[in-house]
Amino acid sequence: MRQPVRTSVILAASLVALLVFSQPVRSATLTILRLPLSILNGALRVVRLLPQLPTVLDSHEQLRAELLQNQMEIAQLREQVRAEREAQLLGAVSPPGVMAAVIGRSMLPTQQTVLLGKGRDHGIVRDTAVIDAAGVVGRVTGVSATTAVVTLLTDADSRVAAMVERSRETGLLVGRARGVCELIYLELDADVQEGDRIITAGLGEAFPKGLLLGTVTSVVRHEALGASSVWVKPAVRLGRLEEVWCLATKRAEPAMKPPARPASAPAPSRQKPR
Amino acid sequence: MSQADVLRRFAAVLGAHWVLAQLMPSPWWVPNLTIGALVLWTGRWPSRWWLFAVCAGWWMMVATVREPGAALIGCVLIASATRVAVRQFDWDDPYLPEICVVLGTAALTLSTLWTEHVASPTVLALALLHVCLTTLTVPLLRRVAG
Repeated sequence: MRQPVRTSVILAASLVALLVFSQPVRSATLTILRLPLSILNGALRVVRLLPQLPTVLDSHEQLRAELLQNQMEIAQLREQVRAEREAQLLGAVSPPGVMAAVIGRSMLPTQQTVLLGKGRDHGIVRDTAVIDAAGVVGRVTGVSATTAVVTLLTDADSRVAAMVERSRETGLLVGRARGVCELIYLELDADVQEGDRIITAGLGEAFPKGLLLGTVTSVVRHEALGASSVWVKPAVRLGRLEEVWCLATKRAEPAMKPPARPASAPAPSRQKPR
Repeated sequence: MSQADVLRRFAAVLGAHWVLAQLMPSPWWVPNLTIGALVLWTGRWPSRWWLFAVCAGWWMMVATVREPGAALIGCVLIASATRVAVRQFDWDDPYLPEICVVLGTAALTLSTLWTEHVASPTVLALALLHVCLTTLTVPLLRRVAG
């Protein structure tokens, strides 16, 4: 009868240890797994890209042509700006932050999160806003020394103060765990319609004002409740994240500095916006 | 099969779960191979149920942002229930493993939806899809388990 008792004791001790030290265990595990996860994620990206290889060259040529055209337009616009409003625009600086690669995604469908390959050592703290070229991705909700967990906009725990860009109606954007978000706390006769862009309202420290959250897909008027709710499709393709930008919060600003100007770039009189 | 082989195959299935989660655009389309492996390995080797429960629970804790303790306890409860089922019924029955996987996955998913207050008809349909996908992997997991 000693075997079952010993097994029970070992199990109980293991469970208690894991429960008590769950955070350190998770942090240590994520730190250890960061490199293999990054490598494996890189290999998976290659596998995903293989079917697209035939079109990559064509896209590359097209993009080079567009880039050259845009660079010429930028040069012309820069001259116009320098002539008219040089002091205001050239004084703007890039928002401080850090670029991070997405090295993992949640295995649990009820929690929409991604894992970043950078953490506290790179200046990322809890509640850091995370964005993409297309818009807002989410917010950092867990951070270790070398990794950070980002809760996406579509997660059930996600709450972002938002507004309708056109009419400036404000509400709260909440995640609904199935790839979409809902903008709630709108008046019954709120001026919002399908196709409207939803942006951050800038309330609170995390998200600056004006960042794109998504687009309205449907509007529901609840006459019995005297309120409206709006379904919003996120602007960012949350299922295909590769690299994101972590905006600095006021707490993280000393650790995050604007990116240095490359030595080969022409020397402007002041720093230019990105 | 040696214990090292058993654990290696168990770990491989857990790793496959993570890999699938990276490839699929939505986690709802990813079968919960961790729970499937936990049930099948516990059914095949009931004396080691605590080892599989702790390993699966630890892996779920790493993947969980909220309530990691609940994920761990959930794995322990699923493994315990499977061990009871093995004692009461014949594990060689072709439907018993599938039934245990369905019940375990459904219990874990629905309890999470309930605690996070996101149980809408659409989400429940997605949860049903998730459970069905997990169940479809049982024959493959049985082959891996040996």
